[in-house]
Amino acid sequence: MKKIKNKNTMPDNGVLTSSMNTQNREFKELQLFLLDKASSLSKQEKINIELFAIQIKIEDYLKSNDDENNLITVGDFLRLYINKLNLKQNKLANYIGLNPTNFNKILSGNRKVNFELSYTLSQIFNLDPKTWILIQVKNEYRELKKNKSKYFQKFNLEDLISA
Amino acid sequence: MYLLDLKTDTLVEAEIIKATIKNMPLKKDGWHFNWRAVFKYKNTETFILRLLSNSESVQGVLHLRKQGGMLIMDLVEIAPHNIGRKNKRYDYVAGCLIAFACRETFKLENNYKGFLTFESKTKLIEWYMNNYYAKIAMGQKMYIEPSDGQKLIDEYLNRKNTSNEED
Repeated sequence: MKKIKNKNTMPDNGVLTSSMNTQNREFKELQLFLLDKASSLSKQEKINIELFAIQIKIEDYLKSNDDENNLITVGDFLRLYINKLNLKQNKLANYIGLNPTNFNKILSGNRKVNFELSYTLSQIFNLDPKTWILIQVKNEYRELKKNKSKYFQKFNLEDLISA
Repeated sequence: MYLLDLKTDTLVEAEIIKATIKNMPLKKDGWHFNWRAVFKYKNTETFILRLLSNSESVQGVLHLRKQGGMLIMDLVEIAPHNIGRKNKRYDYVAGCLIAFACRETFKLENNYKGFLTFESKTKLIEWYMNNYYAKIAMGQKMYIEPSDGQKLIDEYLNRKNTSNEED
């Protein structure tokens, strides 16, 4: 097994930080220091941050309990990419070989994503190829559970065998 | 995510969850910080790292504070049994907690997105620099840049347990 090499001795005490005083001048200097660091990032680095931030949002949404959080659709996440990366909707549609009208239907939830499109979008945004299908499945299941769970309760193996 | 069980040299599955007063560790069990006191602080969130196989066993605690738009890793403590060379039980506890804090910074919606900052104990500055890509901002105030935060997330939160895979 590959171990991470600790180049220094671990602390002899479990407390690893000191609570930061946020009321002094030094704290304001720290804010300015980090703002300066953030503004000096390259365009590509800024894009990477936005891509990663949306990826985390998607990961958290997929992991979240079906009953919590508001529904976030495939279209909502796609719009996030479009807005954060300043993409042109039609340009993206054409790039992935979709008619802009059909792409718009995906954004508004009137058309489903298929595996091929999920793969393509994931390739562009550096995600697992299944990501968009998983969002769709989660949302469909959630809606079905919410609206038709009683209907499904009537099905069981005993009834089938005794029928 | 996984911790390394130093007793058996195997990876054990762990998780980081939001803490409640009920599941906070106590000083009487050897912890230095009075963790139950943090719940009165505003603009903060506290998380515990625990094993999936034993939800009672807290391996580390992380307290994050939002202030001035920044995300501050304000307090971190690892369990008494995870300290030292001889009797340390689990490795990667600090790494997982720091990586988790880095991940949280990507949820900020301002120019500090991706930047984690914290105040190191004086003698740990080099340890942070050598092990967790941290850099000195000023004095004991340190920060981890977004690209380095991503490396830590990959290293500690997205680690694959290859020992379970067949050749």
